[in-house]
Amino acid sequence: LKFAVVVFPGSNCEVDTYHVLTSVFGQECDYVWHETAGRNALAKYDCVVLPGGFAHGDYLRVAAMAAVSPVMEAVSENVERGGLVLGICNGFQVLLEARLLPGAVLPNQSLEHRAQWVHMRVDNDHTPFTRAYEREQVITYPISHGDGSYFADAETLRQVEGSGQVVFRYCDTQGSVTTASNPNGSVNNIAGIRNRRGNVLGLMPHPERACEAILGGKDGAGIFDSLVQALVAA
Amino acid sequence: VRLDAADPASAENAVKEMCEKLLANTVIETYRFEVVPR
Repeated sequence: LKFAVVVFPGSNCEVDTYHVLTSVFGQECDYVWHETAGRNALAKYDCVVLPGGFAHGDYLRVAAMAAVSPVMEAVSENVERGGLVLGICNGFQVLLEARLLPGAVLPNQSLEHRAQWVHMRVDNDHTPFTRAYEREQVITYPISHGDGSYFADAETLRQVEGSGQVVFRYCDTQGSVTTASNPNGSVNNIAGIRNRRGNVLGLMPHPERACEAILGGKDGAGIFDSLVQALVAA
Repeated sequence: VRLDAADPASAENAVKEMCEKLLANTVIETYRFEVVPR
């Protein structure tokens, strides 16, 4: 399988993501610079990952500049073609700004950058990104963000909730979705969503930082396991 | 912002497009502007 990790100026999780895909999962992976133009520039990849960081310094608005980078034309084309696209943290924010996922993020309710481990409940295990998990499984990932409070207007939220697009929700150790377990004020404790078609996933927590025991946890491996399973089966 | 446009209406359209495409995220932000012909 061939993965692409898109690199924007200011990305800072691209090496972690590349490491996990190649060293932990033994897959082929290329870095793709954000200036890469052309609709078919990413056509040869089975999966495109937009990594975490602060693309273009998050100037103007979080992920706003990245969403209009030349490479996004090819990312959109991959989405239209049904290819798999994963956005992690800043990558999720880029997908929201590019309107490839519904909604937006606001500054954390605490107005603080939060770097901590969080628990999430898997709300949808019928996606190519989560098939290695079980529904309602409680998993633990790290977060590190200042702007992660997911928001959508009432109508969008109704659609997202009503069509299984909420994939992960912040919860406590028992899987209860509570205000205390919500690290950033996201509406309905939403930590990650997919698009309606199901080939795009975005989430604020970092799976690539939780794939090896030496890093404190391996729950993140489930996302990459799922991707490999789904792509091999396809 | 100063821009060349054939008439106020096309200037208005150009600014609206800038706002919608980049300057504002209308999910969480609003915007307003005024076109002043010179």
